[in-house]
Amino acid sequence: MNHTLYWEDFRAGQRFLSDTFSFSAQDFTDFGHVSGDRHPMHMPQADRNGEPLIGHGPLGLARYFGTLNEMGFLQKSIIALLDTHWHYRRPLEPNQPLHYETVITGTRLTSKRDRGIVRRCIRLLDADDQVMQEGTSSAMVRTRHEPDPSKQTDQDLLGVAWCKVLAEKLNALDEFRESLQLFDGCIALSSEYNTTQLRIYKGRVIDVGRRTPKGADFTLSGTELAWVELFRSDRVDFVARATHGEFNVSGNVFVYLQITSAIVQLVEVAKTLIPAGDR
Amino acid sequence: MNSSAHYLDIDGRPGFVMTFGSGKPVVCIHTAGQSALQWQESIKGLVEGGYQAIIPDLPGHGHSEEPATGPVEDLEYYASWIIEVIERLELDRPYVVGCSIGGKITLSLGVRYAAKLSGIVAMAADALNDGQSERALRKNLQDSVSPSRSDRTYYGTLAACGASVSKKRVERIAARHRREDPQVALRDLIGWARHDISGQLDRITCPAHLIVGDDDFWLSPQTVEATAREIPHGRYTRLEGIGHYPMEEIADFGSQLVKWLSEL
Repeated sequence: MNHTLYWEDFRAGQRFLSDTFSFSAQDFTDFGHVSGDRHPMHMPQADRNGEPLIGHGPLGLARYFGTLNEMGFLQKSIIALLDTHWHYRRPLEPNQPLHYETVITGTRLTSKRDRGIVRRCIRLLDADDQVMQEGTSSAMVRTRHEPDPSKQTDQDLLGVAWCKVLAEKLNALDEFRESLQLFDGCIALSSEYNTTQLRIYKGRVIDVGRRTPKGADFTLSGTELAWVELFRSDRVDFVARATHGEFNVSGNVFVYLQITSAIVQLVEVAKTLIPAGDR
Repeated sequence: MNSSAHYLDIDGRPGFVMTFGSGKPVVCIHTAGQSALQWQESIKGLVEGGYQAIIPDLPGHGHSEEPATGPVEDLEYYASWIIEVIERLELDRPYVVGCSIGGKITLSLGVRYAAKLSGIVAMAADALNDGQSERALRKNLQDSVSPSRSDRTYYGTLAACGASVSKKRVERIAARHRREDPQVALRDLIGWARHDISGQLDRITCPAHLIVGDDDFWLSPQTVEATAREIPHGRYTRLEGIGHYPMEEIADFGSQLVKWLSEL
């Protein structure tokens, strides 16, 4: 990929795959010298008492940013790396075919409208698509043009503005209104980046915000990646994903179960906020 | 097409069984909470393929009354009940095919009754499933802790069907499943959670074919494949884009089943 991607070009649900690469034993040696971590388990020439040679965990993370640079599409638009949350799942072996998968999970314009935040989930995968390492990382990226303030251009999933658009669509849906006609309460939708409450009375969302006076009856939580994958799914499969533990409920679980139908409708409506081409 | 219907007195309660066609008998066992209706679309293919379809409603399902002791929590009870059906109807070395709990019952029949069977086709079933918690299922037996049960059955069934199945068909399957009695279906699932024939698979000496859909969220294809490997004449097929209910998801499933039976 040789063209530059600016902030406007990123949308929740986009997926990028890197070329396949591998780490050599020499790479482990070099990383050991640069980092100062020359533990025998990482150094080919060291006596490991028969234990296998494994790479430094952070090498798998460091190489991601190098790979991104090689791919080139952020070279002119990247401003800064903002955060990284990383998990090491399996040891790195020398000469093992690997690649990175990046899924964009959310975008948000900053108050300086010449730049925005791009949130992404990253996985380092082996040839069988087993997860070796994974995590999330946010970057600040330049906008191509300063966006029109009258148009909502970001995809800050589960943010207040995003949930207000969702609420408008839900209020226009007869099935949602009918399924909640005896409901007077508040539900919260939560990811690692946002928690937003939807106050609902007799089937209408009457308030959306970070806080409501009485708080949420229950909070439905998942990682931003879990929400994106749910919203990208062509199937009506929220129940399966919840059964598999991709989503958790805290608070009044009884109320959550009572309004199963409304939650499924909410998810199906939220899918329309992700452009079809990205699903 | 020859057909017959029977109320068999088993354990003092009526058990309903239908037969269609004539030829080599094939006993078809339905899933948790469901009935013989699940096999309705398979009848034509089976009969035209030279088989007789024998389709019971398990006790507590469809037209069969539950046992005097209440809904069944032990799949081995169902396996004994099926053996009783086979012997009452004097079926000569039948094939047995089942799905989900029906698949597990089929595997149990393989363990206990292989010498009198021509072969088995077990779909969506493994030797030991670790995805269900008996404790959680038991709590849900109370309506007061398990609200919106029919909605959850409906949406759960939508999610359990495969990606290759049309929306119209999936919605029809889910509407059928919503008709289940939660007390019976939940106890079926308790039976599913408790069922364990690992360590007995070498006793399945008849030909066996294990089938799993790769969109089946109830169990992993890997555990089904591992189960098939431990059966002496076991084979394994993974169905792309299919979920937990192949006989309802695949149009003209009967013809597909005939092919599998002929390969046993």
